[in-house]
Amino acid sequence: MSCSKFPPKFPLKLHHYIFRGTRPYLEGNLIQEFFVNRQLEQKKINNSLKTSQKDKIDFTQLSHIDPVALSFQFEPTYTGGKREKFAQRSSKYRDLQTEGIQFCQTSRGGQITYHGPGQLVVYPIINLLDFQKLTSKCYVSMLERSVILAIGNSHLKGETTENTGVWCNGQKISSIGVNIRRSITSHGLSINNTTDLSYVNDEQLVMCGLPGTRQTSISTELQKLNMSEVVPSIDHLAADIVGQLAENLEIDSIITHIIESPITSEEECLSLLN
Amino acid sequence: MIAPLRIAVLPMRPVAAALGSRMLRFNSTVAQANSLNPSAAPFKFSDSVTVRYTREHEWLASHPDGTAFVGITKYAADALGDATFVEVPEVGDSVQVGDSIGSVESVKSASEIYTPVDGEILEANDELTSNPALINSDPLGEGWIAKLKVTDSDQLLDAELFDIDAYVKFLQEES
Repeated sequence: MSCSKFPPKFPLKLHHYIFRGTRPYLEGNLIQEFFVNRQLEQKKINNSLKTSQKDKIDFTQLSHIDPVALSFQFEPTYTGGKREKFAQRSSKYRDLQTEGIQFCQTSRGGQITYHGPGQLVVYPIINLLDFQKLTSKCYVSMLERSVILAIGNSHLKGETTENTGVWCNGQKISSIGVNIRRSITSHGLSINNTTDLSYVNDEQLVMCGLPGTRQTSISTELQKLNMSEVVPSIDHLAADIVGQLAENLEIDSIITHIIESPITSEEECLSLLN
Repeated sequence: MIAPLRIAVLPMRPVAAALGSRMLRFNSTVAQANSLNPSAAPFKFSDSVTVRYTREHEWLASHPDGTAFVGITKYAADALGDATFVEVPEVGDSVQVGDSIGSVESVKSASEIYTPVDGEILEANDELTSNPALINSDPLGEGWIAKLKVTDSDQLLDAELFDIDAYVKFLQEES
């Protein structure tokens, strides 16, 4: 199956929301759910229109919601994927919990992962069906490709392996975990920029179900090359990744929204649309 | 000026005819691939099975006594790629149309599976927990996800549920 080209079926713009500062993981989740629900609601409307029109679907009556990419930095949090619940985990997690580190169970694919300051998290919320032949498999490899191109701009060579994610000199630099609800994507990718790696390179904590795997970051890798001065800012890295996403999805127009204020309610989510 | 035009038109006919039959063959292959495996439980449960499909590529095989099996189509299984993990529902759970009854994970993407009808989960296919590859090898047979008791049989007549012909047509429009 070819995974290289999946042009949009109609013109779309990509809205990139950059959430400044370090935010609680649950705030990110609230915002993400808001955008997923908008897509799901529109899809429901379109489907009932299609059903009522039976054989002759008037496609001009169907509306589409532009894809969004949400970029965040989170407070230190471990999140579990569908395959790994925290309940039966090592006592190390309980120790960390008493130190005030958050734990959240999520609906994404994959196992346990860490989010924290210095790590960029990007959640694209798109309807896969708005693009030609964009399967979930192609979508994940498109995310990997976008990361490789973006870190390439920072002079680093990223690679894929049989395990999902992007690796640099044999260590993991970017993790991917996606959830798909009725072809609407959520969750996405994280990439270590200046992450404190002691949270992930601890032998008592197995990240992503891969024992013995070590993680690295853009700053660690650039240090090895004596190029520390070119470590990108988080905003810069976010713009790079989202730019690559748009290019891979053949979307010409990116609208960037910079959000400084905290978002803690549905009402505040609605204000993001203005 | 007229004669060359006629010559140009004539060879078109066999080409168009060939395209038409290729389309028919495509349809019947797709229909076959997305039909129930006759030697597995979802088909064999009774003498009279009715199969319906959703826009989200689930299938529903219902039987006269109100028992139904739910799974994902071959089309969906192929699009997901090799399954590494399948989440199945809890037996005894009451579910309503549109509730998630599980998920299929492949290459770090977890896709939710929804029930097309209201019901109570009678059985979950625990085989999938130890052998998620069943979803790819036999999605319309041994790879069924849930067996449920349908609570409102009128829902089986819902216009949003396709029969096999409508599902194949839908696949063509969608891709």
